[in-house]
Amino acid sequence: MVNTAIEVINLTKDYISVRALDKVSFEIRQGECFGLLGPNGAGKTTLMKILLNLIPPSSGSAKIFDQPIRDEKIREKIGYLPEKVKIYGFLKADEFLDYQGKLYGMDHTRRKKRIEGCLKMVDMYEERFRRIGEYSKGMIQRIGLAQALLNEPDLLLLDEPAVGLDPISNKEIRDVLLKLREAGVTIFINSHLLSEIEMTCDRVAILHKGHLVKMGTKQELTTKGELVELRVEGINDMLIQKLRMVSNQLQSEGDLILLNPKDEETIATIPEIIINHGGKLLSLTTRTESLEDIFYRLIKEEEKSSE
Amino acid sequence: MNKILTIAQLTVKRELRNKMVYILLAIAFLLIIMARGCTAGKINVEKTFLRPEQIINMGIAISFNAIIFWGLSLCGLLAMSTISRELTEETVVLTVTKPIKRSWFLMGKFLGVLFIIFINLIVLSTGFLLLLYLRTGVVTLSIFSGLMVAFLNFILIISLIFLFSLLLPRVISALLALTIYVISFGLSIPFSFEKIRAYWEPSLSSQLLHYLLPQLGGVHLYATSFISNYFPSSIGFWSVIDVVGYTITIWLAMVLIFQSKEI
Repeated sequence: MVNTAIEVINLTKDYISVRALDKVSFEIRQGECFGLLGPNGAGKTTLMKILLNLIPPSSGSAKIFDQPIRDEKIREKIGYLPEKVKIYGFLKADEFLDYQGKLYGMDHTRRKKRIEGCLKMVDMYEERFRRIGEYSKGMIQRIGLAQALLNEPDLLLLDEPAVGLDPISNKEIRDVLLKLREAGVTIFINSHLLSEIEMTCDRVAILHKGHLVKMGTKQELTTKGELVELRVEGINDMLIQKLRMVSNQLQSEGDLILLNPKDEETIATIPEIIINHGGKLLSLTTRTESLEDIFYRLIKEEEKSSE
Repeated sequence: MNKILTIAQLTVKRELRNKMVYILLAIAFLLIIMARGCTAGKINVEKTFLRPEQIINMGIAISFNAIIFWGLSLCGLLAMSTISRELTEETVVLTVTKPIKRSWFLMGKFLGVLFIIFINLIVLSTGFLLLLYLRTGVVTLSIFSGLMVAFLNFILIISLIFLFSLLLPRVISALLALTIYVISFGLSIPFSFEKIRAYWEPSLSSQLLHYLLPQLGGVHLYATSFISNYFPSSIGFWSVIDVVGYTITIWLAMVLIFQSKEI
Protein backbone atom coordinates (compact mmCIF):
# COMPACT_ATOMS: atom_id res chain seq x y z
CA MET A 1 0.00 0.00 0.00
CA VAL A 2 1.27 3.48 -0.90
CA ASN A 3 1.50 5.77 2.12
CA THR A 4 2.78 8.83 0.36
CA ALA A 5 0.25 10.94 -1.48
CA ILE A 6 2.68 13.48 -2.93
CA GLU A 7 6.44 13.15 -3.25
CA VAL A 8 8.39 16.12 -4.55
CA ILE A 9 12.13 15.73 -5.13
CA ASN A 10 14.43 18.67 -5.93
CA LEU A 11 11.78 20.36 -8.01
CA THR A 12 13.13 23.40 -9.83
CA LYS A 13 11.36 25.73 -12.23
CA ASP A 14 13.24 28.43 -14.08
CA TYR A 15 11.65 31.20 -16.08
CA ILE A 16 13.70 33.52 -18.27
CA SER A 17 14.36 36.08 -15.55
CA VAL A 18 13.51 34.31 -12.33
CA ARG A 19 13.81 30.96 -10.56
CA ALA A 20 10.25 30.25 -9.41
CA LEU A 21 11.15 27.05 -7.54
CA ASP A 22 14.56 26.10 -6.23
CA LYS A 23 15.17 22.42 -5.46
CA VAL A 24 11.99 22.00 -3.45
CA SER A 25 11.57 18.61 -1.78
CA PHE A 26 8.85 17.35 0.53
CA GLU A 27 6.40 14.53 1.10
CA ILE A 28 2.73 14.57 1.98
CA ARG A 29 1.33 11.49 3.63
CA GLN A 30 -2.03 10.01 2.73
CA GLY A 31 -4.89 11.41 4.77
CA GLU A 32 -2.88 14.46 5.76
CA CYS A 33 -3.99 18.05 5.39
CA PHE A 34 -0.96 19.97 4.24
CA GLY A 35 -0.73 23.72 3.87
CA LEU A 36 1.75 25.53 1.68
CA LEU A 37 2.21 29.07 2.90
CA GLY A 38 4.02 31.85 1.19
CA PRO A 39 3.75 35.47 0.19
CA ASN A 40 2.59 36.38 -3.33
CA GLY A 41 5.14 35.24 -5.90
CA ALA A 42 6.64 32.59 -3.61
CA GLY A 43 6.08 29.83 -6.18
CA LYS A 44 3.04 28.14 -4.62
CA THR A 45 0.88 28.15 -7.75
CA THR A 46 3.84 27.09 -9.90
CA LEU A 47 4.34 24.07 -7.65
CA MET A 48 0.69 23.11 -7.85
CA LYS A 49 0.63 23.53 -11.63
CA ILE A 50 3.66 21.26 -11.94
CA LEU A 51 1.87 18.63 -9.86
CA LEU A 52 -1.06 18.82 -12.28
CA ASN A 53 1.21 18.65 -15.33
CA LEU A 54 0.04 22.10 -16.44
CA ILE A 55 3.64 23.26 -16.63
CA PRO A 56 6.77 21.12 -16.90
CA PRO A 57 9.51 21.41 -14.26
CA SER A 58 13.00 22.54 -15.32
CA SER A 59 14.48 19.74 -13.22
CA GLY A 60 13.58 17.41 -10.40
CA SER A 61 10.62 15.10 -10.19
CA ALA A 62 7.28 14.62 -8.51
CA LYS A 63 5.02 11.66 -7.92
CA ILE A 64 1.41 11.37 -6.85
CA PHE A 65 0.40 8.08 -5.24
CA ASP A 66 3.74 6.75 -6.45
CA GLN A 67 2.89 7.47 -10.10
CA PRO A 68 4.68 10.02 -12.26
CA ILE A 69 2.69 13.24 -12.62
CA ARG A 70 2.71 12.97 -16.43
CA ASP A 71 0.47 9.88 -16.22
CA GLU A 72 -3.04 11.20 -16.88
CA LYS A 73 -4.64 8.21 -15.09
CA ILE A 74 -3.41 9.54 -11.77
CA ARG A 75 -5.73 12.52 -12.19
CA GLU A 76 -8.73 10.19 -11.77
CA LYS A 77 -7.92 10.38 -8.04
CA ILE A 78 -7.34 14.13 -7.92
CA GLY A 79 -9.73 17.00 -7.40
CA TYR A 80 -8.37 20.45 -8.22
CA LEU A 81 -9.66 23.89 -7.39
CA PRO A 82 -7.66 26.60 -9.19
CA GLU A 83 -7.07 30.04 -7.75
CA LYS A 84 -9.20 31.62 -10.45
CA VAL A 85 -12.05 29.33 -11.39
CA LYS A 86 -12.77 29.89 -15.10
CA ILE A 87 -15.92 28.14 -16.31
CA TYR A 88 -17.94 28.36 -19.54
CA GLY A 89 -20.47 31.07 -18.73
CA PHE A 90 -23.09 29.74 -21.16
CA LEU A 91 -23.48 26.48 -19.25
CA LYS A 92 -25.72 25.88 -16.27
CA ALA A 93 -24.06 24.51 -13.13
CA ASP A 94 -25.45 21.00 -13.59
CA GLU A 95 -24.42 20.96 -17.28
CA PHE A 96 -20.90 22.02 -16.37
CA LEU A 97 -20.61 19.37 -13.66
CA ASP A 98 -22.00 16.76 -16.06
CA TYR A 99 -19.26 17.72 -18.55
CA GLN A 100 -16.63 17.43 -15.82
CA GLY A 101 -18.06 14.07 -14.70
CA LYS A 102 -17.83 12.72 -18.25
CA LEU A 103 -14.18 13.80 -18.39
CA TYR A 104 -13.59 11.79 -15.21
CA GLY A 105 -15.15 8.81 -17.02
CA MET A 106 -18.07 8.55 -14.57
CA ASP A 107 -21.20 6.72 -15.72
CA HIS A 108 -24.58 8.49 -15.96
CA THR A 109 -26.01 7.17 -12.68
CA ARG A 110 -22.91 8.06 -10.68
CA ARG A 111 -22.69 11.48 -12.33
CA LYS A 112 -26.28 12.29 -11.49
CA LYS A 113 -25.86 11.21 -7.87
CA ARG A 114 -22.56 13.01 -7.38
CA ILE A 115 -23.69 16.23 -9.08
CA GLU A 116 -26.66 16.43 -6.74
CA GLY A 117 -24.51 15.60 -3.70
CA CYS A 118 -21.73 18.06 -4.57
CA LEU A 119 -24.14 20.91 -5.36
CA LYS A 120 -25.85 20.35 -2.03
CA MET A 121 -22.49 20.16 -0.26
CA VAL A 122 -21.48 23.60 -1.55
CA ASP A 123 -25.00 24.95 -1.05
CA MET A 124 -25.62 25.58 -4.76
CA TYR A 125 -28.34 23.00 -5.46
CA GLU A 126 -31.09 25.60 -5.72
CA GLU A 127 -29.05 27.61 -8.22
CA ARG A 128 -28.22 24.70 -10.54
CA PHE A 129 -30.48 25.78 -13.42
CA ARG A 130 -29.00 29.27 -13.71
CA ARG A 131 -26.29 30.03 -16.24
CA ILE A 132 -22.83 30.25 -14.68
CA GLY A 133 -22.33 33.61 -16.41
CA GLU A 134 -24.93 35.05 -14.03
CA TYR A 135 -23.15 33.81 -10.88
CA SER A 136 -21.22 35.95 -8.42
CA LYS A 137 -17.52 35.30 -7.79
CA GLY A 138 -18.30 33.42 -4.58
CA MET A 139 -20.85 31.20 -6.36
CA ILE A 140 -18.35 30.38 -9.10
CA GLN A 141 -15.81 29.47 -6.42
CA ARG A 142 -18.39 27.10 -4.90
CA ILE A 143 -19.04 25.47 -8.29
CA GLY A 144 -15.25 25.18 -8.64
CA LEU A 145 -15.15 23.31 -5.34
CA ALA A 146 -18.09 21.12 -6.42
CA GLN A 147 -16.23 20.02 -9.57
CA ALA A 148 -13.13 19.30 -7.48
CA LEU A 149 -15.17 16.99 -5.24
CA LEU A 150 -17.17 15.36 -8.05
CA ASN A 151 -14.98 12.29 -8.49
CA GLU A 152 -14.70 11.62 -4.73
CA PRO A 153 -10.97 12.38 -4.90
CA ASP A 154 -8.31 10.76 -2.76
CA LEU A 155 -6.26 13.92 -3.13
CA LEU A 156 -7.62 17.44 -3.16
CA LEU A 157 -5.42 20.24 -4.50
CA LEU A 158 -6.71 23.67 -3.55
CA ASP A 159 -5.05 26.82 -4.78
CA GLU A 160 -6.07 29.79 -2.63
CA PRO A 161 -9.56 28.38 -1.92
CA ALA A 162 -10.64 31.37 0.17
CA VAL A 163 -9.86 34.05 -2.41
CA GLY A 164 -12.92 36.17 -3.20
CA LEU A 165 -15.14 34.51 -0.62
CA ASP A 166 -17.12 36.35 2.00
CA PRO A 167 -16.57 35.22 5.63
CA ILE A 168 -19.72 33.04 5.65
CA SER A 169 -18.80 31.22 2.42
CA ASN A 170 -15.28 30.91 3.74
CA LYS A 171 -16.45 29.20 6.91
CA GLU A 172 -18.79 26.89 4.99
CA ILE A 173 -16.01 25.82 2.65
CA ARG A 174 -13.68 25.31 5.60
CA ASP A 175 -16.30 23.07 7.22
CA VAL A 176 -16.49 21.03 4.00
CA LEU A 177 -12.71 20.63 4.05
CA LEU A 178 -12.69 19.56 7.68
CA LYS A 179 -15.32 16.90 6.90
CA LEU A 180 -13.22 15.65 4.00
CA ARG A 181 -10.14 15.53 6.20
CA GLU A 182 -12.06 13.43 8.70
CA ALA A 183 -13.07 11.13 5.84
CA GLY A 184 -9.39 10.51 5.08
CA VAL A 185 -9.00 12.64 1.96
CA THR A 186 -5.48 14.04 1.50
CA ILE A 187 -5.71 17.80 1.19
CA PHE A 188 -3.02 20.10 -0.14
CA ILE A 189 -3.85 23.79 0.28
CA ASN A 190 -1.92 26.71 -1.15
CA SER A 191 -2.67 29.92 0.64
CA HIS A 192 -1.36 33.18 1.90
CA LEU A 193 -4.23 33.36 4.41
CA LEU A 194 -2.57 32.09 7.56
CA SER A 195 -5.71 31.72 9.65
CA GLU A 196 -7.17 29.44 6.97
CA ILE A 197 -4.19 27.11 7.06
CA GLU A 198 -3.95 27.24 10.85
CA MET A 199 -7.53 26.04 11.24
CA THR A 200 -7.41 23.19 8.73
CA CYS A 201 -3.90 21.84 8.25
CA ASP A 202 -1.93 19.18 10.13
CA ARG A 203 1.40 20.25 8.66
CA VAL A 204 2.66 23.40 7.06
CA ALA A 205 5.48 24.28 4.70
CA ILE A 206 6.64 27.82 4.15
CA LEU A 207 7.79 28.77 0.69
CA HIS A 208 9.61 32.02 0.00
CA LYS A 209 11.07 33.09 -3.33
CA GLY A 210 11.06 29.49 -4.52
CA HIS A 211 12.84 28.15 -1.41
CA LEU A 212 11.24 25.82 1.08
CA VAL A 213 12.04 27.73 4.26
CA LYS A 214 10.65 25.36 6.85
CA MET A 215 8.21 22.48 7.15
CA GLY A 216 6.51 20.78 10.07
CA THR A 217 3.53 20.79 12.39
CA LYS A 218 2.66 24.07 14.05
CA GLN A 219 4.23 22.75 17.27
CA GLU A 220 7.44 21.88 15.43
CA LEU A 221 7.65 25.34 13.90
CA THR A 222 6.82 27.21 17.09
CA THR A 223 9.72 28.59 19.13
CA LYS A 224 9.99 27.08 22.56
CA GLY A 225 8.57 29.24 25.34
CA GLU A 226 6.24 32.15 25.24
CA LEU A 227 6.27 35.27 23.15
CA VAL A 228 6.36 38.64 24.85
CA GLU A 229 4.70 41.54 23.09
CA LEU A 230 5.80 44.95 24.31
CA ARG A 231 4.57 48.42 23.53
CA VAL A 232 7.32 50.86 24.37
CA GLU A 233 7.70 54.60 24.01
CA GLY A 234 11.21 55.89 23.29
CA ILE A 235 12.76 52.82 21.69
CA ASN A 236 16.47 53.27 21.08
CA ASP A 237 19.32 51.15 19.77
CA MET A 238 20.82 50.50 23.20
CA LEU A 239 17.45 49.29 24.50
CA ILE A 240 17.02 46.93 21.56
CA GLN A 241 20.57 45.66 22.04
CA LYS A 242 19.95 44.92 25.72
CA LEU A 243 16.65 43.18 24.97
CA ARG A 244 18.35 41.08 22.29
CA MET A 245 20.78 39.81 24.96
CA VAL A 246 17.88 38.25 26.89
CA SER A 247 15.99 36.95 23.83
CA ASN A 248 16.25 34.08 21.40
CA GLN A 249 14.56 36.20 18.75
CA LEU A 250 13.44 39.79 18.60
CA GLN A 251 11.46 41.81 16.07
CA SER A 252 10.60 45.46 16.41
CA GLU A 253 8.36 47.69 14.35
CA GLY A 254 7.31 51.18 15.46
CA ASP A 255 6.59 51.07 19.18
CA LEU A 256 6.00 47.31 19.09
CA ILE A 257 8.62 44.78 20.19
CA LEU A 258 8.01 41.05 19.89
CA LEU A 259 10.54 38.82 21.59
CA ASN A 260 11.01 35.23 22.58
CA PRO A 261 12.75 35.35 26.02
CA LYS A 262 15.62 32.97 26.74
CA ASP A 263 13.87 31.72 29.89
CA GLU A 264 10.79 32.44 31.93
CA GLU A 265 12.69 34.37 34.63
CA THR A 266 13.82 36.87 32.00
CA ILE A 267 10.26 38.15 31.54
CA ALA A 268 10.34 39.73 35.00
CA THR A 269 13.52 41.67 34.15
CA ILE A 270 12.16 43.20 30.95
CA PRO A 271 10.41 46.26 32.51
CA GLU A 272 13.57 47.10 34.39
CA ILE A 273 15.70 46.91 31.23
CA ILE A 274 13.28 49.22 29.42
CA ILE A 275 13.16 51.83 32.21
CA ASN A 276 16.96 51.73 32.72
CA HIS A 277 17.50 52.50 29.03
CA GLY A 278 15.20 55.46 28.68
CA GLY A 279 12.08 53.70 27.47
CA LYS A 280 8.54 53.92 28.79
CA LEU A 281 6.69 50.61 28.98
CA LEU A 282 3.10 51.05 27.75
CA SER A 283 2.05 47.40 27.83
CA LEU A 284 3.46 43.88 28.22
CA THR A 285 1.56 40.79 27.16
CA THR A 286 2.64 37.18 26.86
CA ARG A 287 1.19 34.69 24.37
CA THR A 288 2.09 31.58 22.41
CA GLU A 289 3.35 31.98 18.85
CA SER A 290 0.62 31.98 16.20
CA LEU A 291 1.14 30.73 12.66
CA GLU A 292 1.24 34.35 11.58
CA ASP A 293 4.14 34.97 14.01
CA ILE A 294 5.92 31.85 12.77
CA PHE A 295 5.40 32.85 9.15
CA TYR A 296 6.59 36.40 9.71
CA ARG A 297 9.62 35.26 11.73
CA LEU A 298 10.70 32.61 9.22
CA ILE A 299 10.28 34.89 6.21
CA LYS A 300 12.30 37.64 7.95
CA GLU A 301 15.01 35.14 8.94
CA GLU A 302 15.15 33.89 5.35
CA GLU A 303 15.41 37.42 4.00
CA LYS A 304 18.21 38.24 6.45
CA SER A 305 20.18 35.10 5.61
CA SER A 306 19.88 35.77 1.86
CA GLU A 307 21.13 39.36 2.22
CA MET B 1 -13.07 8.12 -27.34
CA ASN B 2 -16.04 9.08 -25.12
CA LYS B 3 -14.01 11.86 -23.53
CA ILE B 4 -13.01 13.21 -26.97
CA LEU B 5 -16.68 13.22 -28.00
CA THR B 6 -17.60 14.98 -24.74
CA ILE B 7 -15.15 17.78 -25.57
CA ALA B 8 -16.40 17.87 -29.17
CA GLN B 9 -20.01 18.11 -27.97
CA LEU B 10 -19.19 21.07 -25.74
CA THR B 11 -17.29 22.72 -28.60
CA VAL B 12 -20.34 22.41 -30.87
CA LYS B 13 -22.54 23.87 -28.15
CA ARG B 14 -20.15 26.77 -27.67
CA GLU B 15 -19.55 27.52 -31.35
CA LEU B 16 -23.26 27.37 -32.20
CA ARG B 17 -23.61 30.42 -29.99
CA ASN B 18 -21.39 32.31 -32.43
CA LYS B 19 -23.77 34.63 -34.30
CA MET B 20 -21.31 34.96 -37.19
CA VAL B 21 -21.99 31.32 -38.17
CA TYR B 22 -25.62 32.19 -38.88
CA ILE B 23 -24.77 35.44 -40.61
CA LEU B 24 -22.35 33.61 -42.92
CA LEU B 25 -24.93 30.91 -43.61
CA ALA B 26 -27.55 33.50 -44.49
CA ILE B 27 -25.12 35.29 -46.84
CA ALA B 28 -24.22 31.98 -48.52
CA PHE B 29 -27.91 31.12 -49.09
CA LEU B 30 -28.51 34.58 -50.48
CA LEU B 31 -25.62 34.16 -52.92
CA ILE B 32 -26.91 30.78 -54.07
CA ILE B 33 -30.38 32.18 -54.65
CA MET B 34 -28.85 35.02 -56.64
CA ALA B 35 -26.63 32.55 -58.57
CA ARG B 36 -29.70 30.99 -60.18
CA GLY B 37 -29.23 33.66 -62.83
CA CYS B 38 -26.11 31.75 -63.93
CA THR B 39 -28.28 28.94 -65.22
CA ALA B 40 -30.29 31.16 -67.56
CA GLY B 41 -29.59 33.35 -70.57
CA LYS B 42 -26.92 33.03 -73.24
CA ILE B 43 -23.15 32.85 -72.69
CA ASN B 44 -20.71 33.50 -75.55
CA VAL B 45 -17.31 31.78 -75.09
CA GLU B 46 -14.72 32.15 -77.91
CA LYS B 47 -17.47 33.09 -80.40
CA THR B 48 -19.44 29.94 -79.56
CA PHE B 49 -22.73 30.07 -77.73
CA LEU B 50 -22.73 27.55 -74.88
CA ARG B 51 -25.45 24.95 -74.90
CA PRO B 52 -28.02 25.15 -72.05
CA GLU B 53 -26.53 22.07 -70.30
CA GLN B 54 -23.08 23.72 -70.47
CA ILE B 55 -24.51 26.86 -68.89
CA ILE B 56 -26.09 24.77 -66.14
CA ASN B 57 -22.74 22.99 -65.59
CA MET B 58 -21.02 26.34 -65.29
CA GLY B 59 -23.63 27.48 -62.75
CA ILE B 60 -23.13 24.30 -60.75
CA ALA B 61 -19.32 24.75 -60.78
CA ILE B 62 -19.62 28.38 -59.64
CA SER B 63 -22.03 27.48 -56.85
CA PHE B 64 -19.87 24.53 -55.79
CA ASN B 65 -16.85 26.80 -55.49
CA ALA B 66 -18.95 29.36 -53.62
CA ILE B 67 -19.86 26.62 -51.12
CA ILE B 68 -16.18 25.67 -50.74
CA PHE B 69 -15.08 29.26 -50.17
CA TRP B 70 -17.91 29.72 -47.73
CA GLY B 71 -16.75 26.57 -45.91
CA LEU B 72 -13.24 27.99 -45.79
CA SER B 73 -14.49 31.24 -44.28
CA LEU B 74 -16.32 29.24 -41.65
CA CYS B 75 -13.15 27.19 -40.97
CA GLY B 76 -11.23 30.42 -40.41
CA LEU B 77 -13.90 31.97 -38.25
CA LEU B 78 -14.41 28.97 -35.97
CA ALA B 79 -10.93 27.47 -35.81
CA MET B 80 -9.12 30.71 -35.02
CA SER B 81 -10.86 31.13 -31.67
CA THR B 82 -11.49 27.53 -30.64
CA ILE B 83 -8.12 26.86 -29.01
CA SER B 84 -6.92 30.41 -28.42
CA ARG B 85 -10.08 31.40 -26.54
CA GLU B 86 -9.76 28.34 -24.29
CA LEU B 87 -6.20 29.41 -23.51
CA THR B 88 -6.79 33.13 -23.02
CA GLU B 89 -9.98 32.64 -20.99
CA GLU B 90 -8.25 29.80 -19.08
CA THR B 91 -11.30 27.54 -19.41
CA VAL B 92 -8.87 24.88 -20.66
CA VAL B 93 -7.50 24.43 -17.12
CA LEU B 94 -10.48 22.51 -15.72
CA THR B 95 -10.46 20.25 -18.78
CA VAL B 96 -6.78 19.31 -19.04
CA THR B 97 -6.50 18.71 -15.29
CA LYS B 98 -8.93 15.84 -15.72
CA PRO B 99 -7.73 12.32 -16.61
CA ILE B 100 -7.33 13.05 -20.32
CA LYS B 101 -4.36 13.37 -22.66
CA ARG B 102 -3.82 16.83 -24.07
CA SER B 103 -4.07 15.41 -27.57
CA TRP B 104 -7.62 14.30 -26.73
CA PHE B 105 -8.50 17.89 -25.95
CA LEU B 106 -7.19 19.01 -29.35
CA MET B 107 -9.00 16.17 -31.09
CA GLY B 108 -12.27 16.99 -29.32
CA LYS B 109 -12.03 20.65 -30.28
CA PHE B 110 -11.14 19.69 -33.83
CA LEU B 111 -14.05 17.26 -34.21
CA GLY B 112 -16.44 19.86 -32.80
CA VAL B 113 -15.41 22.47 -35.38
CA LEU B 114 -15.41 19.90 -38.18
CA PHE B 115 -18.91 18.76 -37.25
CA ILE B 116 -20.33 22.29 -37.45
CA ILE B 117 -18.71 22.83 -40.84
CA PHE B 118 -19.92 19.45 -42.08
CA ILE B 119 -23.52 20.14 -41.05
CA ASN B 120 -23.41 23.63 -42.59
CA LEU B 121 -22.05 22.24 -45.87
CA ILE B 122 -24.75 19.60 -46.00
CA VAL B 123 -27.46 22.20 -45.34
CA LEU B 124 -26.05 24.55 -47.94
CA SER B 125 -25.49 21.87 -50.59
CA THR B 126 -28.96 20.42 -50.09
CA GLY B 127 -30.44 23.92 -50.36
CA PHE B 128 -28.49 24.51 -53.54
CA LEU B 129 -29.55 21.17 -55.08
CA LEU B 130 -33.17 21.92 -54.26
CA LEU B 131 -32.98 25.31 -55.92
CA LEU B 132 -31.21 23.82 -58.93
CA TYR B 133 -33.87 21.12 -59.28
CA LEU B 134 -36.72 23.61 -59.02
CA ARG B 135 -35.09 25.88 -61.60
CA THR B 136 -33.75 23.36 -64.13
CA GLY B 137 -34.98 19.89 -63.17
CA VAL B 138 -31.34 18.76 -62.91
CA VAL B 139 -30.15 16.62 -59.97
CA THR B 140 -26.36 16.55 -59.42
CA LEU B 141 -25.57 14.30 -56.50
CA SER B 142 -21.89 14.27 -57.52
CA ILE B 143 -21.63 17.56 -55.64
CA PHE B 144 -21.44 15.47 -52.45
CA SER B 145 -18.46 13.45 -53.83
CA GLY B 146 -16.75 16.75 -54.67
CA LEU B 147 -17.43 18.09 -51.18
CA MET B 148 -16.04 14.92 -49.59
CA VAL B 149 -12.75 15.51 -51.41
CA ALA B 150 -12.80 19.23 -50.58
CA PHE B 151 -13.35 18.28 -46.95
CA LEU B 152 -9.72 17.11 -46.86
CA ASN B 153 -8.74 20.73 -47.44
CA PHE B 154 -11.00 21.88 -44.61
CA ILE B 155 -9.37 19.35 -42.29
CA LEU B 156 -5.91 20.65 -43.16
CA ILE B 157 -6.92 24.31 -42.91
CA ILE B 158 -8.48 23.80 -39.45
CA SER B 159 -5.36 21.89 -38.36
CA LEU B 160 -3.12 24.69 -39.65
CA ILE B 161 -5.16 27.36 -37.85
CA PHE B 162 -5.11 25.30 -34.64
CA LEU B 163 -1.33 24.96 -34.89
CA PHE B 164 -0.75 28.63 -35.70
CA SER B 165 -3.11 29.75 -32.92
CA LEU B 166 -0.91 27.95 -30.38
CA LEU B 167 1.91 30.25 -31.39
CA LEU B 168 0.38 33.39 -32.92
CA PRO B 169 -2.56 35.76 -32.36
CA ARG B 170 -5.78 34.16 -33.59
CA VAL B 171 -6.61 36.55 -36.43
CA ILE B 172 -3.09 36.23 -37.84
CA SER B 173 -3.39 32.43 -37.55
CA ALA B 174 -6.55 32.37 -39.64
CA LEU B 175 -5.23 34.84 -42.19
CA LEU B 176 -1.97 32.93 -42.54
CA ALA B 177 -3.70 29.60 -43.14
CA LEU B 178 -6.15 31.11 -45.66
CA THR B 179 -3.27 32.90 -47.42
CA ILE B 180 -1.53 29.54 -47.82
CA TYR B 181 -4.76 28.22 -49.35
CA VAL B 182 -5.05 31.10 -51.80
CA ILE B 183 -1.38 30.89 -52.85
CA SER B 184 -1.60 27.12 -53.26
CA PHE B 185 -4.80 27.49 -55.30
CA GLY B 186 -3.29 30.16 -57.53
CA LEU B 187 -0.09 28.22 -58.10
CA SER B 188 -1.92 24.98 -58.92
CA ILE B 189 -3.74 26.58 -61.91
CA PRO B 190 -0.82 26.57 -64.41
CA PHE B 191 0.14 23.09 -63.24
CA SER B 192 -3.37 21.77 -63.83
CA PHE B 193 -4.48 23.41 -67.09
CA GLU B 194 -2.33 22.81 -70.14
CA LYS B 195 -3.98 25.66 -72.09
CA ILE B 196 -3.08 28.12 -69.32
CA ARG B 197 0.49 26.83 -69.21
CA ALA B 198 0.83 27.93 -72.84
CA TYR B 199 0.45 31.53 -71.69
CA TRP B 200 1.83 31.30 -68.13
CA GLU B 201 4.97 29.27 -67.56
CA PRO B 202 5.59 29.31 -63.77
CA SER B 203 8.93 30.75 -62.68
CA LEU B 204 11.41 28.65 -60.69
CA SER B 205 10.37 30.30 -57.41
CA SER B 206 6.68 29.65 -58.21
CA GLN B 207 7.49 26.02 -58.92
CA LEU B 208 9.45 25.74 -55.67
CA LEU B 209 6.60 27.32 -53.69
CA HIS B 210 4.09 25.08 -55.41
CA TYR B 211 5.93 21.94 -54.35
CA LEU B 212 6.74 23.22 -50.85
CA LEU B 213 3.22 24.29 -49.90
CA PRO B 214 0.48 21.73 -49.31
CA GLN B 215 -1.38 20.91 -52.54
CA LEU B 216 -4.63 22.51 -51.37
CA GLY B 217 -5.24 23.98 -54.82
CA GLY B 218 -4.75 20.58 -56.46
CA VAL B 219 -7.33 19.00 -54.13
CA HIS B 220 -9.71 21.91 -54.72
CA LEU B 221 -9.53 21.47 -58.51
CA TYR B 222 -9.79 17.70 -58.13
CA ALA B 223 -12.95 18.15 -56.03
CA THR B 224 -14.42 20.43 -58.71
CA SER B 225 -13.64 17.82 -61.38
CA PHE B 226 -16.35 15.62 -59.82
CA ILE B 227 -19.04 18.03 -60.96
CA SER B 228 -17.55 19.56 -64.10
CA ASN B 229 -15.53 18.13 -66.95
CA TYR B 230 -13.79 21.47 -67.42
CA PHE B 231 -11.63 20.79 -64.38
CA PRO B 232 -8.72 18.35 -64.43
CA SER B 233 -8.57 15.23 -62.26
CA SER B 234 -5.09 14.14 -63.38
CA ILE B 235 -3.12 15.55 -60.42
CA GLY B 236 -5.87 14.78 -57.91
CA PHE B 237 -4.52 11.56 -56.43
CA TRP B 238 -1.08 12.99 -55.62
CA SER B 239 -2.61 16.18 -54.25
CA VAL B 240 -4.79 14.13 -51.92
CA ILE B 241 -1.76 12.12 -50.73
CA ASP B 242 0.17 15.38 -50.22
CA VAL B 243 -2.63 17.02 -48.20
CA VAL B 244 -3.12 13.92 -46.04
CA GLY B 245 0.64 13.80 -45.39
CA TYR B 246 0.67 17.47 -44.45
CA THR B 247 -2.31 16.99 -42.13
CA ILE B 248 -0.57 14.16 -40.26
CA THR B 249 2.62 16.22 -39.94
CA ILE B 250 0.72 19.29 -38.72
CA TRP B 251 -1.07 17.17 -36.12
CA LEU B 252 2.17 15.69 -34.83
CA ALA B 253 3.65 19.19 -34.50
CA MET B 254 0.48 20.50 -32.87
CA VAL B 255 0.36 17.71 -30.27
CA LEU B 256 4.06 18.14 -29.46
CA ILE B 257 3.70 21.90 -29.02
CA PHE B 258 0.49 21.67 -27.00
CA GLN B 259 1.91 18.98 -24.72
CA SER B 260 4.82 21.19 -23.73
CA LYS B 261 2.73 24.35 -23.55
CA GLU B 262 2.53 25.99 -20.14
CA ILE B 263 -1.08 26.56 -19.12
